Amino acid sequence: MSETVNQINMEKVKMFSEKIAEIKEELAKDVVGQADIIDGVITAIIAGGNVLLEGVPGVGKTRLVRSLGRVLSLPFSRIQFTPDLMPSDVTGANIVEKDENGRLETKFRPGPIFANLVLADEINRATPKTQSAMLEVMQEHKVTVGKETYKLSEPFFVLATENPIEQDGTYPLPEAQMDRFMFKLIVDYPTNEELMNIVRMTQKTMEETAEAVITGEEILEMRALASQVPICDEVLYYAVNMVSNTHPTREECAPSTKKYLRYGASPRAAQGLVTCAKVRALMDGRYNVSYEDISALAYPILRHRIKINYTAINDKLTVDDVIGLIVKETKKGC
Amino acid sequence: MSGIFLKFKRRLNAIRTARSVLVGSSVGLASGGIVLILWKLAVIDLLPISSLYIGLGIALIAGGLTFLFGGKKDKRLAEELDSDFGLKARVQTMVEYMGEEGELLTIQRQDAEAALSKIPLRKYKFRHLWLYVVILALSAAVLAVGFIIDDVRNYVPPEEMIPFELSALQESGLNDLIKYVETSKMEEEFRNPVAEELRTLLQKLKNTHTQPEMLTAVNGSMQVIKNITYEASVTTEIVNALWSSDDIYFKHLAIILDTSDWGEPNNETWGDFAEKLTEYTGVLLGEGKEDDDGLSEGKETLKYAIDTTSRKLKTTLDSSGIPSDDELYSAIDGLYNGSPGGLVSLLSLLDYIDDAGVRESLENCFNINSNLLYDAISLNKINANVGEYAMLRLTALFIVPLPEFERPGEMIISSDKDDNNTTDSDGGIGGGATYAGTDLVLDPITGELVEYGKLLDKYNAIMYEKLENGSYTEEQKEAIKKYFALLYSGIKKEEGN
Repeated sequence: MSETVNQINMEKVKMFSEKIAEIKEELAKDVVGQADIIDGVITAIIAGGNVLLEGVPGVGKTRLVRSLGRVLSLPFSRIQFTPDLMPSDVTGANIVEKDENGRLETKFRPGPIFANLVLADEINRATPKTQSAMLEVMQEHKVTVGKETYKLSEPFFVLATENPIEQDGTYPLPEAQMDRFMFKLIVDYPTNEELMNIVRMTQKTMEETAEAVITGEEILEMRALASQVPICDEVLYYAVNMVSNTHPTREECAPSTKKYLRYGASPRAAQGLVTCAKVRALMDGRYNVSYEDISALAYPILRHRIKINYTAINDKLTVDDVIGLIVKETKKGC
Repeated sequence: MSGIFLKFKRRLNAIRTARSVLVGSSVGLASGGIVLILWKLAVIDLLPISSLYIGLGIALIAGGLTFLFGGKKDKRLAEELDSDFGLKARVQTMVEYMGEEGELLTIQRQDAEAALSKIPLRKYKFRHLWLYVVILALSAAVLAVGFIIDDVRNYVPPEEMIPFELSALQESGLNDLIKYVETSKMEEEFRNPVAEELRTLLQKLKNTHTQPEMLTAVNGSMQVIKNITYEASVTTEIVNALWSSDDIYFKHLAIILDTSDWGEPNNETWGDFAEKLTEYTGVLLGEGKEDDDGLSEGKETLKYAIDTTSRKLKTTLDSSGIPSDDELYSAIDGLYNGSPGGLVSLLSLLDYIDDAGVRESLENCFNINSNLLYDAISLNKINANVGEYAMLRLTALFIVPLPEFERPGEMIISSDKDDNNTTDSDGGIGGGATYAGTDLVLDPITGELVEYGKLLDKYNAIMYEKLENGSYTEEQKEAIKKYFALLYSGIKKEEGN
């Protein structure tokens, strides 16, 4: 490869690193702590995936997403999911209007989904019917209303939140929809030190001060660059094997899978694992995917795609605990 | 391929070679050791050197196979390097995408090479080297055990400490033997050491209290006596050389020399010898023969006989180890080359065959030279016979196995105790074996195998005829008759007789 092309590539890599640093720096102005969550969200966004944020109220889920919208300088919309929310409230609907000549015509009024960054707040409070309206949007980035299909502009992300407590009056997301989230990130309660910083910050101002540092085009360029990161066969096999190991019906699955899982992850998990691993490697200043990338991303990729059984519950194991066992039991290499 | 990666590859090959050597050496040493141990334990019956060949062969095979199958592909090496040095799949990715082009592939390759070059080559170590060294040491130990343990074939169970005490009979027998040796006609240089050895043995045995000690002492003495009288055993070689001649003259000479007892040589024994000589002379001079072919054939026969036997005698003499100043040496050498004083030698007889004086020459040669030979051999035979007798008596007194003698032929079973004893049944022709009357022996005159009893009869008849017709003193007649009586008494009695 010529020196010039190599030089260009080095500049792209440098730009990638710089942008990531800038995004983190800006987000840190509005969000205290939650470094892992921020990394996860950035990874998923660059990889082109949707994120489900689960956490108790008040830990900053919504604030994070709003700040992210500003930092990414992308059109942002928020949908507060309630039990009475209708699908058309999300996607938009055809309405009948009079034109300038007084004639009645049908016009499509786009819903809040028509943005680049959509915050689907408390998505588990919406009815399954409304939730299913998100399916096509999240996967295919388009909306079909009536006979018309409307494409959403790229980059398009859905960041959804859900409350793990107050399950009364909620509708658990179906597996099909869960599978469309690249990551599920658990937003933990902040530490005392983080809480102190939060209180100090919010005592001064509640306003979010993060500024835009990246455009949609730049995100797409970063995505394209990340997709070039090479992955060797052994690591690829490791990723595939890890996902396969979550299926208790397979004979060669991990022993913990047989013992603790009811069902395993779909092929989207393997795709997401590799795609996000490439992004993670590049974010880490490396130019190839490693085993550590795969094993680190196993948790956000798999936790919402697998189901533990009563044996795990009896043994007081969480999903993450079982994922940890599967990671240990997955062999490296071909 | 990346330069730095190639360096690690070369190091891998060096480790692979070292591993092959260690494995081959370990397996070879262990195999050789096991073969040696099995041989020592008499489980297998191979030559000990086989353990070396087997060990070497197996070492080469094991080492070769280890080298052949011990290699690693590039990917495997890359995986090892990433794993050992925490390179996070950099090298594996570099190796896999080597030769391909892509936006980030070149950068990745450079990154991998930079990371790899930070690692000192020596850090890529021979894994589990200590284990190979331990196994090598253990294998060497197996071989060492093979050398250390004793061969079970040489194992002699410790004899029970059976008590021993010299009995009166044994002491008396040993004293008689000492006296016998001292009064024998053995040459002084042999007689004194043998007698002294027997006296020493007697003293030792008086202070010996266990069976093993007795055996050691007696065997030791027999070995000493054997060594002293060794020289005398060459007598048999001389006799055998004469005996193996095709000519009856030398065969007869062999008999006469070998059957000599400790008495004086009996010149009348040459009677038949002289008759045959006359016959030969007649042949040589053409008497009684009308055709030249017959004459020639006789000459050739004699020529061949003389030539063959003289060479055999010479060879035997040279290889006997007899000192050149020994009487035996002088006598045989004289027989071969001619005695000082102008007597004709065997060799020179070849030139005399066509001469009318051949008879005289032969007579001179055989009578004089062989008498000298006879005297010398007789003395040596006496030395050997006394020595052998002493050893036989020891074996009989102390019930020990007879050691092997180097002298060819069977043991002379001597007449017991003294020279004039004619009542014992020992004696006989040739090597002193006791023959049955029906045993076949070679007739030295006809060259045919005949029964010993019949041959003795024949000689006995000749002897009596000559005694009747010849002029002998009464003393000589008695000696000859006694001798033949001895020969007859030596015939092994058959069962029922």
